[in-house]
Amino acid sequence: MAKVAKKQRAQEGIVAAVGIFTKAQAAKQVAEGVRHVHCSELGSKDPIYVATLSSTEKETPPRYLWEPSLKTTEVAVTQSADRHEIFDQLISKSVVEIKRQLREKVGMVLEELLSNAIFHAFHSDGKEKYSRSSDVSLKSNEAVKVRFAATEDGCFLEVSDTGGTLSFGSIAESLKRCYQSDAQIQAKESGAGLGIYMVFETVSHLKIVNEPNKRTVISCWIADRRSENPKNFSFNYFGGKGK
Amino acid sequence: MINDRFKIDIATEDGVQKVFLRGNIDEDADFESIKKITGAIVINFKDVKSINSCGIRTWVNFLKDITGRQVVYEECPPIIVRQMNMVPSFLGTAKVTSVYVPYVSDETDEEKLVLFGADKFTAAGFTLPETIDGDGDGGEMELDGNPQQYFAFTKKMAA
Repeated sequence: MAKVAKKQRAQEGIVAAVGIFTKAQAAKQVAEGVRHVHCSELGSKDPIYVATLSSTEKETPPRYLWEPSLKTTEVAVTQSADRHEIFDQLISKSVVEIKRQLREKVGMVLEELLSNAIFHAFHSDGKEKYSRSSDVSLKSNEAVKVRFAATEDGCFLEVSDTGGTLSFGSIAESLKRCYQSDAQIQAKESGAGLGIYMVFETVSHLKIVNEPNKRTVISCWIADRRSENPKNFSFNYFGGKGK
Repeated sequence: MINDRFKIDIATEDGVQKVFLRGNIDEDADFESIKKITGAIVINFKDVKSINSCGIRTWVNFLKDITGRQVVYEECPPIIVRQMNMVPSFLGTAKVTSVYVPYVSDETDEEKLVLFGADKFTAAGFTLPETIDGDGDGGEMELDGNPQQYFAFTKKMAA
């Protein structure tokens, strides 16, 4: 790992790191509690990193360069069985033809984020409200929203839920298990515990905004392999103080 | 729950029983029927369209159930190769005999999957063509991806 710059605060320790990382090295940073990890050859001059530091001072998540300001296609999902059709619906409305490899990656990321939101975001009495082993119908106020946009350089995807239970601690634990131990897969009945790891491995930029018990918004940019600087990536978690 | 998104076909080719997995592998996929096969278990992944994290767990648990049996993976598309690289236990002790490699034309955006046998990729390296001829008038197609990353699973196979 070379040229790593870190932003430290008295109360919170290291909050942000920028440098040249592999995904595994970045995951190690997250597992150690760093909520903003950026891989960029521009180092601390990287515009996405600069926007992140500025926003952490203000405690409001920034709108990143990769987040589309123009039109996105949006759908709301309430039936778990419908999730298999959502991606086809979204890409059928895209005017840009998405390459096979990129399409497969976006499909996988959408499936993991949607499954997490439908089956694991909503809790009742401290337990997950819905079971993965049955078809789930979310209430109208629990509808999971998906936004999508495709460009020549990559795809934007955002999945938001009103459960608001995705803590930084659970992400850090998941990445630590998947990158640093031989027990990647959880044996528990619900999720396999691989979803966040698979998303982290696949996307270029990942932004998670969590308002505990109100909402979680996960947005990501999945770059086309042939786009500029395909090795650049970032992870940013905002909100949900504490583990 | 009835699973109409995933199907298993078992057929005999050249005297060898082969398992053809088709569709989407998720938490509802059931691999029990494969256990009835005697001898080596040859899995053909050509028609797998997607696999999610719970599908990976189901598959890895199935591999644990058949520990000690000889398992062969053939015609692995990129979607399966990515899982073998991301989750090493998805490969387990299986031997990979062929994989599809993606090629793309920068000029026409034409895409093509080309099947290569294991003689082209070993832990020691790979001998794939960097470019191939396209079907259309677009000329050459180049390997779509980093072969070092794509064939990372061969290191695990050799271990």
